Amino acid sequence: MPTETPTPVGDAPAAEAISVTHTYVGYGLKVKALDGASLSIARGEVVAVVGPSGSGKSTLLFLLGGLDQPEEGTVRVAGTAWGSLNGDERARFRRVNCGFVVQGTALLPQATAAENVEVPLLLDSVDPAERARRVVEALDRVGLAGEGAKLPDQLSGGQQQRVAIARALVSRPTLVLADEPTGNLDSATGQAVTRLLVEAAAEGGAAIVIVTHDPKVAAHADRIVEMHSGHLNSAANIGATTSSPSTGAAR
Amino acid sequence: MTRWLAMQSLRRAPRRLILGALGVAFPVAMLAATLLFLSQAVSSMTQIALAPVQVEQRALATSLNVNMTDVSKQLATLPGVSHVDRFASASVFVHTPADPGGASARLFAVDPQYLQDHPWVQAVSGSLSNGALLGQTLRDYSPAFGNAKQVTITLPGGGGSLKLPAAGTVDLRQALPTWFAIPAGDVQGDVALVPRAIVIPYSTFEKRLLPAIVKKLGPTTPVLNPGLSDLPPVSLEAHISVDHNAYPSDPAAAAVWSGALRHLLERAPAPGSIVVADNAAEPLTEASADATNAKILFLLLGIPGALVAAALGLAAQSALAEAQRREDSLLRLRGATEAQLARLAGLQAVFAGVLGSIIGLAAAFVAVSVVEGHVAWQNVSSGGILFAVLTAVGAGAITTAVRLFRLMRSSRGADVIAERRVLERGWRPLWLRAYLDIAAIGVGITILVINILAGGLKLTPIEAAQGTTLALSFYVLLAPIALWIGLTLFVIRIMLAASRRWTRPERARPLSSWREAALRWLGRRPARTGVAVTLGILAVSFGTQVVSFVATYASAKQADANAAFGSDLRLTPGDPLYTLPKSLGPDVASVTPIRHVPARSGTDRKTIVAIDLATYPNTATTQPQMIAGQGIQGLLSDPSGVIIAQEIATDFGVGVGDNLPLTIFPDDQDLSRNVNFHVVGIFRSFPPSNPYSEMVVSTAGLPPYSAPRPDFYMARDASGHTPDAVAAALAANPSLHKKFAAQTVAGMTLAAPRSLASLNLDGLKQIEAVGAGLIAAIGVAVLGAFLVFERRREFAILEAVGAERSQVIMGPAQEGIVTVIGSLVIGLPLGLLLSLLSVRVLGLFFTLPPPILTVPGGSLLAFTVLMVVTCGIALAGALVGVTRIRAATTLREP
Repeated sequence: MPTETPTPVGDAPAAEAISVTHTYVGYGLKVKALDGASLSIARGEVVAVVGPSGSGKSTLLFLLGGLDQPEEGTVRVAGTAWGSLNGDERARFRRVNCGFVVQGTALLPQATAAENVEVPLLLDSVDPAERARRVVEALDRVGLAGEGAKLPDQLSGGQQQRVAIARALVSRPTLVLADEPTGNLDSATGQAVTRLLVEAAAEGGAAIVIVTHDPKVAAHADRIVEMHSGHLNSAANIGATTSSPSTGAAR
Repeated sequence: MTRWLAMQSLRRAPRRLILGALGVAFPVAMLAATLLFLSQAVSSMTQIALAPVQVEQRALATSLNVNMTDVSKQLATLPGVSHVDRFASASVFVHTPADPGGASARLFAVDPQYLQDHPWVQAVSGSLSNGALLGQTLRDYSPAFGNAKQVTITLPGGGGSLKLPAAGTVDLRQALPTWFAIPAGDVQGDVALVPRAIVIPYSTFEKRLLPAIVKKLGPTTPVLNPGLSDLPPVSLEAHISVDHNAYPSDPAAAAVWSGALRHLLERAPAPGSIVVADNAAEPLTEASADATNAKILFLLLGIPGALVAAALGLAAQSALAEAQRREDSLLRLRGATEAQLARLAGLQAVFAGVLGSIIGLAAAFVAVSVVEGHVAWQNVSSGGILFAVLTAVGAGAITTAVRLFRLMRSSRGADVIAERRVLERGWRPLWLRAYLDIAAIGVGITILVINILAGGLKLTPIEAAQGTTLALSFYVLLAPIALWIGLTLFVIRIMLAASRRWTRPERARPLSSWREAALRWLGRRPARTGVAVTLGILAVSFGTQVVSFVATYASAKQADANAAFGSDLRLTPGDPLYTLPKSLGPDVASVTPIRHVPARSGTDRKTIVAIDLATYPNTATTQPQMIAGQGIQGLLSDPSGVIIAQEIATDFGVGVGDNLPLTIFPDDQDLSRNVNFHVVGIFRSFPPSNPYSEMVVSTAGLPPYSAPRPDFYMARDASGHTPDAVAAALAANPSLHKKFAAQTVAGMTLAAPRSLASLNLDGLKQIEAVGAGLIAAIGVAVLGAFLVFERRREFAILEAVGAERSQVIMGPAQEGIVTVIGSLVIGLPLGLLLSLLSVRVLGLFFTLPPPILTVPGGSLLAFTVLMVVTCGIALAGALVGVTRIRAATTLREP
């Protein structure tokens, strides 16, 4: 079991991408997804990344979460560069400092809602009593206090995303990365889930990066970053666009 | 267009093609290998059955005016006939100048070439070309015959005086089955053990004695009397040797061919001039029955392998179902019609089926060739090969058809997600819902119970030893197969119920570790592991059954051989007049003589084995198997006692305590006596049982003057010596050199071996065991492929939430380990149980009751190691595949 987890630097930004270039390879395609992109996310800040399909949004998200390594440039989370860590160190660092909410099926189908939330803590060998307390707390926070024993296929799509949010936040991460978290949900449920994500992250002081096509979801962000052909749109990158700042940094 | 699409999909997804082809290749290979072995075994049975036959066809002249010289020439021209030898026999008196009174004897007349053609007649000294050869027992009759330089042959009641030089001595011990058999018509009669014999050239007989016989008896005298129970006064014969290669390889076909040849031979000369006895018919008919049993035996051992291999093929297909669904959905979106999709699936399946059949057939031929040490088609008829190939390809086609049906059905599934849920959770396959396991167990038990109630599964060794057809109903063999499938599925049912209970979400206890979490989740969706464990148990239990059954079969065969041999060594004097010295040196602990005494009860001729009670018990290495009464002890306490075979007791209607009047030496005018024996015991087997023992008496119980010279001696090695070493030491002893032949059980070809007992199952065992190990491994590989293909998103999610590599592979590793351990822990005992049952079912094949079960530790260990290693490799490959899944790519997938 893991014994050492890389320690984040105290006053560093939640996440930084500096001059990142990356080529996406998949399905027989080779596309330059990011071309010298840079981005800094303050602690507690909510950033929405928008842009057309294939513009490199998801690539940026996975690079920020350390699931991929850039060909050029540096990506840091809480002051620690992913490139300085080896495979297992990255995994340990990620489960403590990053929470992922992915698009589509995000839960382990064989695990109950509570067990899904418990996964990062189990992986980190957190004490069972502490684990149980934090799982209950996380489910309570997303409004699923009585649903812990249900399997994912017994939950609605919105409930499943709430469980995914609870899992992303249960280890109190510095950064939450959400890839189209409302993609499979109707508009009202999507709004509710986004609101929940932003509020719950704010309670824990986590910064959020949301990749989305939906302007209503983006409207919850402190800042909107637009991507186009692997480049970040600097104009959108500069200022917050939301009328009602929801997070610490914006406030 | 469809063809282009098919080629594209094959090019883009070669792994799918390979897995599909492997699914077909395995059942094809297993079935083809089994059938090739079967063809080889059946083909060899014909040759084994014919080997002890001295003269395949025996033409008997119907009257004395038939010219057998002309007849022989005519018969020699017929197809399949190797050579024809003239033969005649007559009852005569033989005189010597020193003993004018003479002795009765049987005269045999053959050409000198006969002795070249038939080495079982041996001239101990002299040559037939120079005069008469005296049988060894005639030489032993009196010193006058022992030293005779000239003999005079006369006919009984006077007439025909023939003077000939006594040119040498002939050993006729091996000629008994043919020369001394009563020519009773179209079947060979009983053997009449005429004690004294003389052999003269046929030309001399024809010119100088036959005219006198004809004159005395009349030219039209019928010399053949069907149903004859004694030797006729004279017989004129042609002994026809048939080329063994001319017989069809299948014993049943060979028996028919032999019968047809008999008719052909009878029609060749003038109609009615000869009657032909088909000596090959009986052993071939017997071999034919054995071949049927061999087929049953091979199918019992081979069919489960093919079944489990076919199941593997279907499991492989199911692992690909999701990928197929995705591809079909994509094509539908792009406008493909259902008919086009069906054609595409058909083309892909046919391609995989053809490729799999070719691979399977090639694997079968290579495996059989490697195991047998010669090319697989050697000794197999073209028909046998064709049958094996067509049947195996047919099995491949059926597997392909079923696979295609399931593939098309699953691709039409309306709600893929719902189907996946059913597959993943709450898995209740058709067999589980239909209670197929319970039904199969019920069928197996019912078959066994009915068979037992009908008197089946009982040993009938005596009939078997005497060549009675073994009757084994094919349906009895369905019992082990039904129980094999039923018990395996029943165990899986229990495991599923237990895992469902243990992993209920609503009663989930707090998890203590990641390992426990992975195990719990495995229990919640046991479908894939369940399929893999089912395959593994079937494969392991099948492999265990084959290995254990073959070991038990080998043990029983050895026990049969030991009982037939009876001792460490068999010493057969080269000269029947030779008496073994009292001591054979320190290597031999004890020696006991075995004598065969001809006897008759009514018209039935029987052979009595006379043993020396003082030395027999210490020399025999195998104990008599008694059914009733006493054995050796009974003979010791009653000098007139006889212990009899079960068949004799049945035929004669006698039991322990009854009298059994017999005429001993019925064909010897001098020694023939009526003796009243007391039955003191009934045996199942009395060693030595080859030649077959029908009745056993003490030598001391025979009239004092009548004990013949020993036919052979049984000998026991001194402790610490092996039979082979002692045999070699005796052969090297100059004082004993060439006086007798020392044979061990391993080196002796027992007379008239049952072809079934000569089956060598080792090759089949090796292939089946390796096949079973590979099937289990491929089962794990299929599980691994499923994990890599279908659960990639879960592994990506785990990586995204921070699972280390070892934590990601924890679940799949557990599934693989559970599969391997479950397969072994359940499959091994189940296989032993089934093997035990199979031994009972096939116990009819053995003369002695077979051992309950011989567990071959070494073979089972090797099988287990093979299975674990191959499964380990398959699992390692799957885990490497899991670690190569890239979360960043996989999480983008819809």
